[in-house]
Amino acid sequence: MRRTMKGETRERIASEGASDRASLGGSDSTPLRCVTCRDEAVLATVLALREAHQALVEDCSGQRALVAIDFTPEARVGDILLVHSGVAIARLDEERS
Amino acid sequence: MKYVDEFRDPALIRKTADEIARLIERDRHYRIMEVCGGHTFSIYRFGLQRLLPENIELVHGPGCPVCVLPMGRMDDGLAIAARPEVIFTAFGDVMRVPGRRGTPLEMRAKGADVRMVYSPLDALKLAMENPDRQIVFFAVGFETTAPSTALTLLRARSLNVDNFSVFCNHVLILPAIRAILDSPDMRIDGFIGPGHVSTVIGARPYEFIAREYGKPVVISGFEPLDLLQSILMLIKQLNQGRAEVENQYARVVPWDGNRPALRALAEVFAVRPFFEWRGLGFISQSALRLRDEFAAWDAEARFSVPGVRVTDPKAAQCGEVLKGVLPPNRCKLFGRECTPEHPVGALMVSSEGACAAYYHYVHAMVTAGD
Ligand code: SF4
Repeated sequence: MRRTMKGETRERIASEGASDRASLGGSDSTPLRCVTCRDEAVLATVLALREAHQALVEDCSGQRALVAIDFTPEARVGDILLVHSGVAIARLDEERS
Repeated sequence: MKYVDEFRDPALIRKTADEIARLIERDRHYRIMEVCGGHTFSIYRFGLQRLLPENIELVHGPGCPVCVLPMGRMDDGLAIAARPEVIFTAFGDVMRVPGRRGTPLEMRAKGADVRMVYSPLDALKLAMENPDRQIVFFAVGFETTAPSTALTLLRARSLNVDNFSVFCNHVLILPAIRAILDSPDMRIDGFIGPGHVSTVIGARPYEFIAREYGKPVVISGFEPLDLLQSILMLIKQLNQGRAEVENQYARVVPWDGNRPALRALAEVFAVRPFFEWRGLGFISQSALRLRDEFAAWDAEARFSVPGVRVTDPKAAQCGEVLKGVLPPNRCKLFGRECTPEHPVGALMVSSEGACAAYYHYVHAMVTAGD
């Protein structure tokens, strides 16, 4: 059921020309998703920092998106972020793991 | 990708499962609740229960915000969606949740302007592109999702976007856990704590569960190895008679949470005195509303909503399943009156609701084997 919805969502967003955010995590059928989140949280690597608290990120399947980094202001190029509904909510910390 | 593959390594998974099998006390029954629907989904998807000894029972908790949303709130939201000036936006999962007059998708088929978004920020963008329409974002989710709604509202205010509003259904995980702990038929020995919620709130807020109720909590990631390691940590605590909060998911969960996100939540939201949870009833201090300073962006203030209350049928046993008293398939309605196509109760609604997940993975397997 989820996969169907995702297909529909992507079609719809494509047809509406909305943000490319939708594609993030799109082709990874294996979810890092949490339903507690109502959406999924996806690990993505920072490729570039952009103005207005945004970063261009790429997930493990190569999908790219612009995400808000207001809550991870320390994010730098090369960091891995946990992205949820278009917003990075955590930065992966190798030392803690 | 690093941090994904290593947590699916079959050799490590086997080794951890073996260690669990070695450590369990044979004559003891371990009842462990995974609070988060994402964990429920992973457990079924990877067949983890099969790797565990029989005396470890995994109980599926209330962590699916779509499942716990009362039908009346859906009806209220759809009453707004039906207004001609409104573009109603929501996450994909909400699109299939039935109110009494159908789902948002069905409303769209009847002519309402209903659109899926991946982020509330996209809904705000839509508002800026359509200044002559009213854009309403139907917000659901726990503390994981609430920060993105908060950020969107802060931006709406600073950009002065006055044709955008939020219908807020954000709920809080801790009061729900407390409600389960307080219920007289509660029989949970320990908790697998939610991973993504905890990136925001941190591990510290769970300490009351250990301190006041004497139950261990291990915050867990979502990969198979994450979950098995967390179960192993819980078994060790239980065997040693310890009750502590431990953090298996430290690679993304800081002990004190995400401070900028918590600050945004505090700035935008206030706690409602009480809120109804489907399957659990009214729980005090368990949900968020917009602060008065944000009333201009509050859909409940902007549009008069009917405030509908709809009760689930008496035969639905969602409450007992949520509290771990009954496994999903022991509900009288399971798989007969109540199926994912025609959900009667809350837990059948989203694919990660305990009953729907059970239905898809276990029930399908059993009937295929018939
Ligand atoms: S089968 Fe349906 S009614 Fe019964 S507990 Fe599950 S969701 Fe509720």
